[in-house]
This record gives sequence, C-alpha cells and structure tokens, in this order.
Amino acid sequence: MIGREDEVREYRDRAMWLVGFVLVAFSLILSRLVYLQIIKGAELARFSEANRLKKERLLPMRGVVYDREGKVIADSRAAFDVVLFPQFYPFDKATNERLAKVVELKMDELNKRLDKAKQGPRYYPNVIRADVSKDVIAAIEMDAQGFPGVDVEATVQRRYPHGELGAQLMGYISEINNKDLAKDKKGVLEKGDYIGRMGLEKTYDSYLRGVNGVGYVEVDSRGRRRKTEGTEKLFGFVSRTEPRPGKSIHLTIDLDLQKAAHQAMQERGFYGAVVVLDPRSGEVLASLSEPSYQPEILSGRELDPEVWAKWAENIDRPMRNKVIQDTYSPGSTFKTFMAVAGLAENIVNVNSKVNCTGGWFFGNRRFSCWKKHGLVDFHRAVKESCDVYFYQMSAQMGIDTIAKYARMFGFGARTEIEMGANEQRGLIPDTEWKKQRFNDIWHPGETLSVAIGQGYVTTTPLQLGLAYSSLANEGFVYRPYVLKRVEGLQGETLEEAHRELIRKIDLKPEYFKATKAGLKDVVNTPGGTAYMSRSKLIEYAGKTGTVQVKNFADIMSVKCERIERKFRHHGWFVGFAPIDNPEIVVATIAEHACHGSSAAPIARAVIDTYFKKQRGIPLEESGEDKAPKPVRVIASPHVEEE
Amino acid sequence: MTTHQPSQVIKTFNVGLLSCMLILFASGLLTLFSATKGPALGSLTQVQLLHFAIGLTLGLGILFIDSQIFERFAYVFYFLCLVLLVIVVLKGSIGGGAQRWIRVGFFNLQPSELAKLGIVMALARYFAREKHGGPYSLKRLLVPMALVAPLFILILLQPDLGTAGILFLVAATMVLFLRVEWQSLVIVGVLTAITLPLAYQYVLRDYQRERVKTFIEPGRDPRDKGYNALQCRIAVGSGRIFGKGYLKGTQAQLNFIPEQQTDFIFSVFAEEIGFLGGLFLIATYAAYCIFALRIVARARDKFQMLLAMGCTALLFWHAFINIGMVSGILPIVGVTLPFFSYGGSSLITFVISTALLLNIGRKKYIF
Repeated sequence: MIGREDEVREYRDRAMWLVGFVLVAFSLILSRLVYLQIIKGAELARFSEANRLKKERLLPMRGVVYDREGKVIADSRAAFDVVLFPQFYPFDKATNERLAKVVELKMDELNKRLDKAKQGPRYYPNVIRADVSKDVIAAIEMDAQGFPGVDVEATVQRRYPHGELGAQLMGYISEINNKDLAKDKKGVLEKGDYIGRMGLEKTYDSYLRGVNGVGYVEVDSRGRRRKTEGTEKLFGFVSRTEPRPGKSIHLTIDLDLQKAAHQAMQERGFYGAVVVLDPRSGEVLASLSEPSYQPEILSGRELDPEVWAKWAENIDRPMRNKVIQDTYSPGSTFKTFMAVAGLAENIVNVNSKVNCTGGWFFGNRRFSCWKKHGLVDFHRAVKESCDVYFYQMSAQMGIDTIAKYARMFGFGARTEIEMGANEQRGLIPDTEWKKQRFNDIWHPGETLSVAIGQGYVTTTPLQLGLAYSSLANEGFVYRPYVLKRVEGLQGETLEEAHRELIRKIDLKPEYFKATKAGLKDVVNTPGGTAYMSRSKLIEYAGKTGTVQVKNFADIMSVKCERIERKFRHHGWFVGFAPIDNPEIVVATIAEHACHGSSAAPIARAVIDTYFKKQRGIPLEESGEDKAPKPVRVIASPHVEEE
Repeated sequence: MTTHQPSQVIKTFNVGLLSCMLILFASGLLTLFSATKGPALGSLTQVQLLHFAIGLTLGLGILFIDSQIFERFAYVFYFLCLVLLVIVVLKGSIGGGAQRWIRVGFFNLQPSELAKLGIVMALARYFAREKHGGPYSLKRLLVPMALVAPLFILILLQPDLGTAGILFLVAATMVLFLRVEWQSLVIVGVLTAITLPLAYQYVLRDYQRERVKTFIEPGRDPRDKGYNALQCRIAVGSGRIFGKGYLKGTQAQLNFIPEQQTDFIFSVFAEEIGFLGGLFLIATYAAYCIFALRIVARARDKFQMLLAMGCTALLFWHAFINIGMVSGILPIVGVTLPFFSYGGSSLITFVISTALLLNIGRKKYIF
C-alpha cells in the first residue's frame, strides 16, 4: 500500500499546496481577461464592430535577371489592381453594375470574380481587375463612397523587355494554387503570391521571389484607411513589416547571340531550337526555342483562356523548351562520334578507304547512301557524310561499342542543366536495352541505322551541343550551366558558379584532330555539305544532319518540299569556331526544313555575331543581312541521304 | 451490499467532479454549435455528441474496473501507444507532410492524445513500485526519462510541438509532486537555459519558429498568423463584461479566426458570453482541478494517487495553456481546450481521464 503514515500525510499536504498553485495560475488568466475585456474592451469592441483592422500585403520586387553583359532580361514594374474586400463590399446589383462599368468588365465575368471573392476569407483582398489604366484608378478614387470595400492596390508586374526572345529559357510566373500551398513546407508562401512556373523563373524562384511584408491598418466601416495617429503601433507592437526584395541573378546568356539566332530563325520561318555553348567552360551563351510565346502575358494577372489555349495547344509546341524537352534523331551529326569511335577502336585509320556505290548490302538488305561517293577515305567520309563508310565501320564495331563511345560524349543522359523540369535524356540503344524494352535480340541491321543517327537513337539539342563541345575541346566534358552569379541587394556576390569538369574523355588527341579536320572541310571546301554556308569572317567547322520524320519508303519518290509540312525532314547543324581552340559551339535544329544544310546559316549567324563582338565590329552593319542568299537555294544541289 | 440502486451507486462517486465535466461539456457543445453554424461545419455538433457518447461508454467501463488491472496493464498500454506513434510517424514520412492520425473505421485516431494517458499510466506504475521514494536525484530519474523520451520525440517528429510540450509538463508535474533534489533542479535549470536557444535554432521547424516570433511580434508574420492572433484578441476583448450574446459573435462567424472550432474555440465563448462567462468557465476548470486534487489526496495507494495526479495535471495544463494562448499571454501552440475543442481523440481522452479519477475517488466501502 501507500507506505508509512507520515509519507501519506506528506502527499496529502502537497496535493493541497497544488490547489493553491491552480488558483494562482487561473487568477493569472483571469487578470488577462480583465485587461482585455474590461480595461481594453471598449477599444477592441470598436475594432470588431466593423472589422476595422485591415491586413495589407506589401509585395516585394522580384529579382532582376541580367545577361552576361548586364543587360536586363527580366525585371518588374509598378502596376495597379482594383481589389475588393468582401467584408466591406455590399454585393448588391446596383453596385455590381456600376463596378462592372468602371473596371470595364462584362457583367458575367465580374459575377464570376465576385463569387470567387465571396468564398475566400472576408478580409482577403480579391483582385477584380488587374493592371488597370490611370482612367480606371481615377474613376475608383473619385467615387470612393460609391464603392465600399473596393480599393486600388499598388502591386508589381513582371516585365520581359525582349518579349518572346528566349521565353522558354526564362519561363514565366503565375499565381500559386492550393497545390503549391500544400507543397510549401516552410510556410513562406501565402495566397495570392506569384511564383516561377517554368524555366529559370521556376528553378531560381527562391532567389528571385523575395519575402512579403505585412501591414495592419485601421479602416473605416467602408474599408477606407483612417488617417488617425498611432495606427503604426497597435496593442503595443509594430504593425508593419517591410517586404524584402528578391535577389538578382546574372546569366551566362549573351542577349546579342540570342537575338542573332532568333532573327536568323525568323527570317527563314524556321521552328526548332538553337543552343550555344562555350566549350571552354560549359557556359550556355544562348538558348532558344521557336516558335515562342509572350511570357509577360502569361505572367500577368489577367490571362485570357483563349490566349493560353492558343499557345498550349499549338502543334509547334511554343510552350516547350525544345533545347532540353524535345528529343530528335541526331541524323548524320552522330557520324562524328562514330568517326572518333572507329579510330579509337582501330577499325579504321585516316587512310582506310571504302568504295561507295550509293549503297551497301548487309544481310539480305540494301542500305542506301544519299549519294554515290565512289572511293572515299576517312576525311572525305566525314566531310561528305558518306553513309556506306559508316555502315561498314559500324558493322565491325557492333552496337554495344557504339553505345560505349556515345555515352562518353554524354548521349543518353541528362545534362542536369538548371533550365527547368522535364529534361529528356534521349536514347542510346544497346543489346541490353533492346532486351529490356522489347524482349528481343539486337539485329545487326539495326546497328547500321544507329551509325547514321537514325533508328532508336535520339538526343536533345543541348545534349548534342555538349557532345560537340567535348569533341571541340578534345575530350573535356563540362557541366553546362546558365546561372553565373547571384547578387544581393547591395550588389554583393552571394553565390557564383564556376566551370565544373564532369569527366575527361580519355582518347588520343589525334582522333579528335582527324575528325575535326573532316568537320572543317564540311564547311570550308567545295563538296562539303555546308560549303554554301561558309563564313567570310571566320573559318568554322561543323556537321549537317537530316532527320526523317516519316518513314523513308513512303516518301522517297517525292521531293521533301512537296510533302505536307509536318512530314518534312528536320535539319540539324552543329558548328564550332575557331577550329583549333574553339570558343563557341552552336547546335541548331530547324524542324521540317528538309535539309541539314538549311540549318547551317543559323549557326553561321550566331558565330559571326560572336566574332564581330569580339573584334569590335558593330552589329548593325551585320553582314548577315547583306549576305548572298544561299539559304533556300542550297536545297537542291547538296542533299543528304536522299 | 445486497441492493444496488442507481442513486446509491452514483453517490459512491465524486459528484462534484462529474458535475464539472458535464457543465464543461454542455457549455462546450453550445459554443461549438455557435462557432460552426455556417454551412460548411454545420454537422460538427452532432459528431461531437457522438464522440462524447463513445467516451462515456468507454468511461463507464473504466469506472467499474479494479485499479489493480490498470496497474498490471500500464506498460502494455504504454507500449501500445508507442507502436501507434511509430505507425503515425512512418505513415507521415511516406505520405509526405504532417500527419497526426490513423484511420480506425470511421474514426481518425490521434495516438498522441492517447500517449498522454500512456505516459501517466507508465510513470504511475514505475514510481508505485519504486521503494525509496523522493526526493529523487537525476540519476534515479533515468528510467522515467527513458519512458518519456520515445513518446516525446515521436510526437515532436509528427511534428506536434503543443502535445509534446503537454506530455513533458504532465510528466514533470508527476515527478515534482514526488519531489526532486534541489541540486538536480538547479542542474536541469542551467541545462535548459543553455539548450533552449540551441533547440530554437536547430530543432524547431520553420513554422514553429514563426509562431514563437509571431507571439513576440505579430506584425512580422506571413500567412495570416499574426493577423489571426490579433483578431483572436479583438474577439476576446470585444466580448467585454456581458458578451455580445449567444450566437451573436462576429469575429468567428466571419472567419477571422482559424480553427475556431478546435484550438481557438475559447475566443468564440469569450466574445459571446463575455468576462462573466470566462469567469464562470475558469472557475469550473479550477473546481474540476480542486475536486481532482482531493481525490489525489485521498487515494488508497501510491499507484492510484499518481494516476490521479497525472490525470489532474493533464486537464490543468491543457486548460491553462489553451486559454493563455487565446488571450495572448502564451505563444500559439496546438493544445485543445478540454471538453470544448472539437475533436474525438481529445474529448474521449478527457472523458476517460475523468472516469479514471472517478474510479480512484470511489467510496469502495459501500460494496
């Protein structure tokens, strides 16, 4: 039992002491209630009567995005919204009708917004019309008594001064939804906030967004601010916290190159992608996807669903960042890596010759070449893109060896660039993959298709650009990146990105050099597949590629330009310059342009711009505009793979 | 005894304590009705009544169980709570985000509520069998600490700072009741002073830190928490002496106050019934505690005494912290108001806890 008699008494005494403790503690709470309900009661009741405490959100300026030279890619401007506080708004027909007229909204659209406002918390400001003109502001302010609970609120609107230029790289911002709120574990987001939705706006949202401020103001029964003394201090604490602006970021992007690529694509009416890399570091100098969209409209607070649908449902995919999110067969641009592999595996050397008769029998099938080349050596095979040469090489090498070399250059793996979600990894097939995917053995004939970049093999423009970058610098695979520097409010550097070597491709330099020599002549000697797109300004090297969109057999008898646009071939060109110590690599795909050679002038425009800037030649007097027009003509004499 | 007239059976119980519970629940139910009279929450009053019925059924069973049975199964119950908490934490980490309950049929069971009773049972059992008695040194408190720690950490992981805090306070109250050596108290005091700032920095989650900051300076708070704290004070204060009248409160009805049916329900009561209502309510909680402490004082053995002590501490700390936070003298933590707050696990826990007290306080010599 409980124990000794004295112990029992001791516990009893202690329990009684606790009665005293309980009384003291509850008295403490009672005294607080006396203070709140009796002493401060009248004052607090005044606040409760008309709910006179209004919460105001103070929005931070979103961080500015600069290019590598400090030119603005994205910033913010002040804007004004008409907002409505349900706690003060009467919701009667007459007021609704007058409001609709003033904010220039159709009645049913206004009703939709009013219904939404009614559902939320009554103290929450609901945007009725965003980004209004001065006339609307004046009309609301003039008739303040006529619109209880309606107010004009200063806010910020994201601005993209270059419009659709590189929109997919930058992305856009939009209002958070309930899903975003649920995902926000740190509790830094609140209803009505705007966050980066795509691209760099999304990736670097935490830098750019800033922190909301908050203010509590006393308002009259119509929701208007009362200008009384002492509203800054309310019940003894500061009633206002200033917002903290977002941090600025500096990109590796060069707007001039971006513009040059955009202009070159537009002039020719091409859709597709262009990505420009610095092979010495992995910096992305330009990244473009065409067609594009207007990020400012998507980031706005008045988005017409029809406008959204126009972009979202467009067959040419303006919302997609084709640089990383779309995969294409590399076509003949893949032969470059076949060439390196052939040398490294000692299957060919620079003197090995093959007689191209316009095709080659393998098994019981004839694999055709796009041209009857005659006797070709290694150099000419690369320069003139002879399929037969690579068919024979690949037949000896086998698919698994091809896959090994392709992966060295980064094919089949994400580059992990910070441009946004959904980066595609492309595909490098091998026997293991075929077994897993189709439960089938690898057929040797399929190896031949892969050798010329067709069949199962696919890649993204960035991946291909990175592979050429690693070839151009003779084996250094750098991680591609777009963020150069994060800057604090005082201009101080908070974070800085540096080049990062992912791996060194350990092959003899002479293999790279021999292949590069072939690529040099693709552009710079007659017979090369991009000879017509050579530059007067600088010698650059490169490789064309033509990719069938539709099965070859169906259309082989028809000229590409004659078939329906969506079935026409894609044209690739990847180039780099200067040839010996490359500083710039340009990978470009022109969708449905029929020929790889069609894409070459795009790369040339970018390369020319780069070296003009370097040599101080003004860009306005660009030779690009005055250049002879080899562009479309090129189609007939030098056609690959047809 | 040969005849068991119902009236005679009731007389064997502590009628005062029973009345306090019924008064509190009735006031709570009426306030809940007022707080949830909007269309979205309309049926909560009926559901709460169902919770109470479940609690009463369980409580009725507990009333007639010999307390030796509780003592025998104390550790089993403790272990069951532990397992349930592990399940919740695992489920939460898989499902992503905070989860505090397990679905049992139609009922969402919150094991952290049960765990409060679990720790009371386990500590009562441990100290009842511990021969030397107080005052205790830190060394002799190692086993009790080992009993508290896993529950405490698991609840903190959910994360539920409020419940973890209550668990600690209840355990501490029981230990202090048995007395602790003053040297040990000094050591604990110094250690706390050192670790508290560190815990604030490294253990608390962002939103928990935000709450502490909001308490100190409501103006700085994102996500409406500061605004809610202000509105809460406005609601309580605007009730003044006589209140705005039942069902006539404005703050809660206009959704100015979050969770007006759970943690913040006192603000609805204070706004509508005023200071006099608050006085009555606090007096009733105090009376409950006093009746309970008398049961503690008259308990027949050490286990029963400590069990009663734990149940008393549980109610006291809940009531004190909840009203303290709503009226703005304590930071906002998720602690329910006993018999008032909507929620089955909390209500049933307090009904069971009251039943345990009634059982211990029963005049057994009648039988």
